[in-house]
Amino acid sequence: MQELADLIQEYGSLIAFAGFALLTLGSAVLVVTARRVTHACISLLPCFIGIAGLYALLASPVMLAFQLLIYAGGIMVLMLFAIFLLERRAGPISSANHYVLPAGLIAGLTAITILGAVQSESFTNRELRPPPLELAPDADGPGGWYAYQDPQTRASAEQPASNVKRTGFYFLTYYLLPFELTSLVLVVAMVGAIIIARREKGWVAAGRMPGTAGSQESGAGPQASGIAAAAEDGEEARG
Amino acid sequence: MVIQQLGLHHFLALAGVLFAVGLFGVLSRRNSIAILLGIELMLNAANINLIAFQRYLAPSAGLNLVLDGQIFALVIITLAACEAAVGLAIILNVYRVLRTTTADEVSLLKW
Repeated sequence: MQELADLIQEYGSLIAFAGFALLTLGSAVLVVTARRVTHACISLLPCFIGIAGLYALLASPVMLAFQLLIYAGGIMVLMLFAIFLLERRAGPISSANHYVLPAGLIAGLTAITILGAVQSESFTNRELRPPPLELAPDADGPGGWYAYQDPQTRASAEQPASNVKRTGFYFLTYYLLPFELTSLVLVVAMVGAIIIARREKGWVAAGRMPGTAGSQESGAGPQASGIAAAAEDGEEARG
Repeated sequence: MVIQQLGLHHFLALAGVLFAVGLFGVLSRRNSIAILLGIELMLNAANINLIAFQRYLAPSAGLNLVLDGQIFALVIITLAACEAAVGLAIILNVYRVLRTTTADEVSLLKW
């Protein structure tokens, strides 16, 4: 029993890494192989949780929080809503299509290339150790698990101790321009999404045009005419 | 028996495999939403890389604990949210016009 405790003490981070990696990769494989899109989307949740655990191992509580908030809480729910809106009548998607083999080849080659590059001495170097972490009981603020800090680093007004405060500090000082640009992009994207997804009379009418869905053989002709008709409908509706 | 300690290459290898899995999803799926799911996986793999490099390579610069990787990753998360919102809006609209979300059947811009 003592040996087991020692083992955990010594290799705890490795064991945790193995667990999170298994969770992440296992559910990622489910995401790309599940036959129903709903199942694929729900499989994203354990994947994101595993990645959040990896961020904890990398001593980045800010990323952990945002991973759970934005990915697991926001993006995944958005995807689920879209699926509920769109996939009502759609049956299981066939995973056996003619793209699987070339896609597998390309992805496999990519994985092999990346893994080969990772073998390089500059990454596997044992000297490459992250600086030790310690809980800072005197950290600014009410102490706590987020107060990880590099012991070499003194906390000060300009260099707050905790990862969270430091991130906020950097965002509003050194990285002010990226911060503002990102918020601008966010606003533009949200307004654009609302405008694109807004229901317009002309487009709804076009949805009933024959030959617009699933007509692979007839090519672009009927679809193009459907769009043209839709545009005309739209103009009529507006005029 | 030599058990390796947790090193940078572990995270890089995991992120590489995750990226390849996402790439496979993007290339093999025919449903537009499933393609977006694959893109999310690839973005997450990039984020893991950024944080791992920050933790292992950047931080020992004296008093200035560098957080560049974390800032990059936060910006990427924001852009991923934008991408998901705009992408889903486009898919919604495509479904309204063409009554399909299969990427193969959306060939209006193909000559």
